[in-house]
Amino acid sequence: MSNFNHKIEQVKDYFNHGNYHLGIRRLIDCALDTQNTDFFKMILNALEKQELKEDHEQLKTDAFDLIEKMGLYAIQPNAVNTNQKLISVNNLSKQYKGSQFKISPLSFELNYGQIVGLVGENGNGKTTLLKLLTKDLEPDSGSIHYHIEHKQNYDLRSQLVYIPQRVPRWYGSLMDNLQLTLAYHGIKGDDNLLWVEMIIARLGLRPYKHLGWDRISSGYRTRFELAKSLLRRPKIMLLDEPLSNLDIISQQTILQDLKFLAESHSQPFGLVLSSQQLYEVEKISDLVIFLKQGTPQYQYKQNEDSHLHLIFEIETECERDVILDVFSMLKVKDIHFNGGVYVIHFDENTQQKDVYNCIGQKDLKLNYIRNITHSSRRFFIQS
Amino acid sequence: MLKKINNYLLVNYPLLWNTKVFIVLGVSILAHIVFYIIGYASYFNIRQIYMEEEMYAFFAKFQVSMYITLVISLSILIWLIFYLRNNAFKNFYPITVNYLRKEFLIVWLILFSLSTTYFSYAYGKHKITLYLTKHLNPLEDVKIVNQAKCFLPFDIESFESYYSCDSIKWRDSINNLIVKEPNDSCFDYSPKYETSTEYDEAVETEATPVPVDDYEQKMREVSYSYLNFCSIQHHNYLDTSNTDIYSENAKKWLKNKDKAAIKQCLTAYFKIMAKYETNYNANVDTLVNWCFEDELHTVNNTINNSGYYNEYGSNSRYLAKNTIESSFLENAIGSVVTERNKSFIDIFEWELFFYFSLSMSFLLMMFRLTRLKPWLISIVGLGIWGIIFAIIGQFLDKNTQYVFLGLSFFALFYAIYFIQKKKRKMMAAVWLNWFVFSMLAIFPLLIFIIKENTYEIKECINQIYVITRPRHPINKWISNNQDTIQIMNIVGGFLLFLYVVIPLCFKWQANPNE
Repeated sequence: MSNFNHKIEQVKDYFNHGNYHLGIRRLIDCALDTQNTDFFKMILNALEKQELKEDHEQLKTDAFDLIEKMGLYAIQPNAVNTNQKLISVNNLSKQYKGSQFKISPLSFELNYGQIVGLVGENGNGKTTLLKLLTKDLEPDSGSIHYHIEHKQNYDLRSQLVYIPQRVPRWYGSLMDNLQLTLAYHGIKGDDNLLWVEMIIARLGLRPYKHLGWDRISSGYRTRFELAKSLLRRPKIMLLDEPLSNLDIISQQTILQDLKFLAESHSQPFGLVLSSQQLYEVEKISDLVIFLKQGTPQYQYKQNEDSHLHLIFEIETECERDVILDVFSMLKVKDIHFNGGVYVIHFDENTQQKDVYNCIGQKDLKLNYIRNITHSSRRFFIQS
Repeated sequence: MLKKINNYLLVNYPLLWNTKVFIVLGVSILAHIVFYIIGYASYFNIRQIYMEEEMYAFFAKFQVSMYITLVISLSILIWLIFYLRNNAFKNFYPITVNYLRKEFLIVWLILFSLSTTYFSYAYGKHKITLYLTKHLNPLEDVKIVNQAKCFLPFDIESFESYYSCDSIKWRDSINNLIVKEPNDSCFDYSPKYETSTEYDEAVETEATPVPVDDYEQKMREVSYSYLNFCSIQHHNYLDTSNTDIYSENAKKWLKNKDKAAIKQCLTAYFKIMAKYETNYNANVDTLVNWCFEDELHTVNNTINNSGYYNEYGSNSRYLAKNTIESSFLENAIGSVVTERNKSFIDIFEWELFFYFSLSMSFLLMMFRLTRLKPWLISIVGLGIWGIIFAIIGQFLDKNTQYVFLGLSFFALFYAIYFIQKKKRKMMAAVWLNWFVFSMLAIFPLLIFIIKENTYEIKECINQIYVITRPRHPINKWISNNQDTIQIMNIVGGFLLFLYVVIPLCFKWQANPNE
């Protein structure tokens, strides 16, 4: 089964299980993959009907009708191989004049459809690294190789889209801005509006499209900026703290959307994003780079299989002695108290079930527990 | 309909949509039409043409110029609010150098079309002037005016014997003798007199009229006589006859007591006054009789050369007795001839508007192509450069232009070098801005330097002028082709911006910050 057909099957499942919101978003992804504007029109019609009547059954019928037609549609083969490299960063370092701060040599690679998360405390070089990647800053040493076809630097930079933490103000109507962006990127005539409407629908912005910049919240401004960036069909998207203005639900939705969109069949791109929302970023990232005073530590997804000593993060009102007593049966290598939570390091032989057994046996009152063995959260511990 | 067009441009021609060129050109055409009509409605009669400065009118030149300036400034301001909303270049949208060239040309076209609204106003005035004056023959009329002046004693001194043509000829002959230098001689031409005042006094003493015959000898004894009027001294500049024929005619008529001829002349003069809608309060017979009050044709009376003014302008009903608006008439004749001979806007004004629109386009495009900070620094820096040039100008005298040219070229090379090297992004933009701001002065300065170094130099050697450096043909060409040079400069400015500055900005934009 092809990737596209698999996606279509997933959409069916979403609708069958009543997950209409996700279903419609993924259905739009499928339609965008086909790049067939007839499907766009059908989806937009279905959405319009749904908005008028809020009839989920009708939406489901329309969706299945569309799925059937799309299933028969001969989709174009992938424009790019998703394993194809986009950026190779080798021993990159940067120091600002007159500052002690320095980004220590840093290396990684980014492929189409992949996501690299940048985490770290404030002022540890995340934005600097993003600016280096977007070619807004020149590295002191090391290199960034872009595997993107370009004649001039301007052409390259037009394929790297950077969204700063503070989204610059838009002037004029939101729709005009989006349509103009798309027109500059070669989608003209009637298709222009259809594509814009689809991306707006994809990001759940339809109810806000006729409002002015001043009438939408900062969270929606970020989303509109994201919509504009997606219309630019970037090869690499660089987002600086895109989640900072979003509520917890929106954060998860946007991250999930970004993951889906980056893996798009027709327009895949590589994504680098910085964020303080460590666990959310980890969920979608292929690589998390933790920057501490400019020094990187890497957390690859595939490392989950590797054998590491267990680290647990727990939040409890009990004292340290009580905790040590709870885990007296196990070998605790280290325990840190930071930010209202304990981070406990166990030795290599300790297994996850042993930890839970101890907690159960001693009936330790917990507010929260998380295994952070494979999370870059473990790098945040202050010694 | 407008919304549809707007949307069509938005999705199909983003550059045209973003620059709002069609809307601005529409507004501009409307402004041109309105101001053409205002120009055409400026005059309802001939009198208004030459009385414009004196009239308190809604459509008076000064007020209309103010309205035009206001309309243009407001239009440009509103246009900028829309135009500056989006910048594809700064957002790294996939555009080319040619896109920026087109944008520059559109910006220039907008600024040129708006700023030349004044042309339409001038054209309207030109057209109505030609229409109102089409029945007039000013070059013939001026001859009658010149002849009639012999019998119109506006200024009694003009009839003094000292100012007669003969006396003037005598003085001129002395002047010519003294001022005329022998060719190639450089000795002191007036060794006889120590100062110019001394020389003038000598000339005045020696300026005795040359006797012609007994009759005229008598006339000379009278201080103020119609016979003394020297018409060539009071010629209207439009009359090309270069002799004192009118004085001769006048003398002849006076000598022969030919009152009829004089009356005919003055009647023709007053008819012309009526044609040009100028006023007079004088009687032909009285004026003729004044010429013959005694045998010596003494001037005993004078007439006023003006009208009575009040807040409504000049009006014949208020003219004092023996008053003729002679100056207004000559002004009117001059205005008609000028209007017929010139195109509605002369080449200097064209050049002025080209320079204005081009400079404004440079300023605006550099703001669009570089960033606010270097752009502001370069503008503030221009003021500082001005002060520095004023100071060094005191020491370098005529060599300031070399320093200016040197700095302009340095600015260009600095910008090229660091843009290519991808370093010092901000200073590269500042120097590039300075180069652009000085661009239109470079070629004229080069021409000026060439001219200064190619004119003829004469030196006085052994009391003889010797040409030590002959005039180069290029010097003559420069002197005779000032307009061509200005046109070349304007075209050069366009080409430099399109083919040097824009590609440099394109590279600069993609360079990393410092």
